[in-house]
Amino acid sequence: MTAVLEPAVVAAIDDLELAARVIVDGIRTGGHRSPLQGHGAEFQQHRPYRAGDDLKYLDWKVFGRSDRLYTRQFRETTNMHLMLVVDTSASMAYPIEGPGLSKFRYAVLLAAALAYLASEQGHAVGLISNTHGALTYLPARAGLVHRRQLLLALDGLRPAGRWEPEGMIDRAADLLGRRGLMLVLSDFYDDEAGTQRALRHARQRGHDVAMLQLLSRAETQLPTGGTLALQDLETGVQQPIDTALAASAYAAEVAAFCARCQTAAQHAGMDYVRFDTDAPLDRALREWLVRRQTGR
Amino acid sequence: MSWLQPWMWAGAIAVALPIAVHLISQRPPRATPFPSLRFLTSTRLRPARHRQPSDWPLLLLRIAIVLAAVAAMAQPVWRTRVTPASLSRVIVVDTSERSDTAMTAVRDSVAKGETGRETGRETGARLVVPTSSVRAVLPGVVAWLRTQPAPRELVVESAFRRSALDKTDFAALPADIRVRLMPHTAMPHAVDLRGAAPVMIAASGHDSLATWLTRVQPLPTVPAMRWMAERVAMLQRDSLLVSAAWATTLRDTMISARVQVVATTATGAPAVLAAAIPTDASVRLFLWTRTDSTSRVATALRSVMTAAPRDAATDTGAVATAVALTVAPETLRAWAGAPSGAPIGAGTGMERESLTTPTDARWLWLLVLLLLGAETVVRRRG
Repeated sequence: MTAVLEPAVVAAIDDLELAARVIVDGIRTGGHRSPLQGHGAEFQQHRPYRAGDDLKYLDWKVFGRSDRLYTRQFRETTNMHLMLVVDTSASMAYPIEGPGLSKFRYAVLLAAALAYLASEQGHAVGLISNTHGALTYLPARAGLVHRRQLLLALDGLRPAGRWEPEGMIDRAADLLGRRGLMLVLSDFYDDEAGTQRALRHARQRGHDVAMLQLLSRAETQLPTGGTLALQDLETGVQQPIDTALAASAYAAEVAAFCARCQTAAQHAGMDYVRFDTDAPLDRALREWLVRRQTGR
Repeated sequence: MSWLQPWMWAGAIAVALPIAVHLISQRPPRATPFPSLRFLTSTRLRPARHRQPSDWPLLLLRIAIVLAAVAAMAQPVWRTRVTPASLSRVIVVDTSERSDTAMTAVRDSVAKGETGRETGRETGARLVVPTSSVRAVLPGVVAWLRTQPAPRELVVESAFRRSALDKTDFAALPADIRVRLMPHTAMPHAVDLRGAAPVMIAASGHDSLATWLTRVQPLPTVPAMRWMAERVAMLQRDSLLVSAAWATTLRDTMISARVQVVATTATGAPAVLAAAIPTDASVRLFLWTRTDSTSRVATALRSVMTAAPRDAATDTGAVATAVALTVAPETLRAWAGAPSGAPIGAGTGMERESLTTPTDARWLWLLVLLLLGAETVVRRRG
C-alpha cells in the first residue's frame, strides 16, 4: 500500500521545489520506473539495412562475420525537450474557498513535479505562460540552475483574467523547436475550438502533446442553495440561477465537454488525462505516468 | 383553559406582518464565484417567478412569537387553579318577576350545577338567597362571603331589568369575589303593573337619552290618557326639573309638534320632553332627557314615574302591562368585569376571576423570550 499525499498536505508546503521533490519521492515510493526516461547512447538492436540508412551506423563486424548488412540502432542520445504550458486564466483559481487546492495551485504543483522529475533525469524543461497579460517564457533547458529558475517562474504565476490558448499553444510549439513533449495544463474552458486546432497543429508538427485537464469536483456539479447569482470568474458577469432546476442539465453539459476533449485528443493522437483536484496529487500523477509508460 | 382577555386574540391578525415581510423582502441571491458560465447557456437559468417566503424556519419562528405574545396578552387561566372543592359561593336569586315554580327550577338548576362549570363536586360553603330586591341583599351577601375562605363567588340569577340593578352595585364589590351574572333564560314578556315596580327603560348609552316607555294595553282609554296627562303635568310642576340648570339641553331638532316640553333648564332650554305616540295596539309615553340615567334629572323622573297611577290606571285596568326591557348581555359582562379594587380584567362571558387565580400568561411570556432567542440565532445563521 503506497502512502498518498493529500492535497492539503502538499498545499501546506510553501517551497515549490520542496513540494515537487515530495511529490516525486511519492511517485518513486511506488517503485515504478519513470516514463520520462531519455534515450541514452546505448546500443539497442540491429535491423536489416535499408537503402538510405546512414552508413556510419552499419555494423561492419557483423557484415564481416555473416556477410549480411545490419544497421545498428541506439537509444536516443539527446535529452528530451519538455515544454510546460500553464493556463493562468481566472477560472483556474476555482475553488477559491475551502480546504482543498485550487485548480491553479494544483497545476503549478503538477508542473513543478514534472519539471523536477524530468530535470533529474537530465531532460530539458521549459515553461510558457502568461500572467497579467505578460508572457512568461523559459526555453527548454537542462540543469539545476535552470530548474530552479523554472520553479521560481512557476511560483510567480498568478491566475487572472483570460488567456488565449490558441496563441499560447502555437507559440509553445514554435519555441519548442525540435520534436518534444508538450504538456498543456488547463481546464480548457476558453476557446474550445481554437484550443483543439492549436493542439492538432502542434501534434502535426511532430510534438508529443498531452492535455492535462484540471477540474475540481465542486465545478462539475452546480452548488446547492436554491437561487444563486453565479459570477463568472473571468468576465465578472453575474447570472441568477435556480440551481435545483439547472443542476442536472449543467452536470450533463460538463460531462459532454469532458467527453469532447477526450475524443478530440484521441482523434489527434494526443494523450489526455483529467486530474481531479480533490484527489491526491502524487497518486494521480503516478497513475498517469504508469498509464503513459505502459501505453494503456 | 379559558382566557381573561379573549378579545386580545384579535391581535393574531399581526401574524400577517411577518408573512408580508417575508414575502416582500426577498433577498437578492448571493453572488457565488464560479469558474465559467459557458455550460449554463442551455439550461434554465431564471429562477421560478412564483413568490415564496424567503426563509421558512425564520418565518415560522416569528409567527410563533406573535401568537405566543397574543396568547399571553389574552391572559390564559388553567381551570385547575380554582379548586372546586374549596369554592365559597352565594347564589342570589331575583324572585321579583318569577313564580314559585320558576324559583324552584332555579334552585334545582343550582343544585345540579347548571349555573356554573363547577359541578356538584364542590364541598365549600354555599348559600342560596332568594330575594325580590337584589340590590338590597348584596351588602349582606358580600359580608358573608368575606367570612368564607377563598376562592369566593357570587352568582346573581335575575331578569336584570334596567331599573333593578346598576353597574355601581357591582363595581362596589370587593375585587377578590368572582361575579357571575346569570340572566333568566325565560323572561316574561310583560309584567303586571299592579303591585309591580314601575317600568323603566334606561336609555341606550351612558351619556345620552334616558327614555321611559310605558306600553299601555288595551287601546288607551280616557283614564289612561288622563294618567299620562297627569304624569306630564307632574313633570312640569316638578321644581327639581324646572330649575335644573345643570341639565343638558336637548337638540332643537327633537322638539316637534308631537313632543311636549316637560321641563326646562334655568336658561329656558328644554330639559325633559314627553310625547304620547299611539301605535297599533297601544299608546307609548316617551320621556326624554339628555342626561345620564343616574343623574339628578333621571332620579327625578324616576321618582315621578314611580308615583304609580293607582288612582287612575290601576283602578281601571287600562294600564295593565308593560314591556320590561332587560340589561343587555354586553352590559352585564361589563358589570361583572368592573371591579372596584385592583383591575384583574373582564371575565369570560359574565364572570370575573378572583385575584386568587392568577393567569398563566407568564409561561407564555417565557415562551416568547425563548422564541426570541431562537429567532436571533436563526437570523444570524442565515
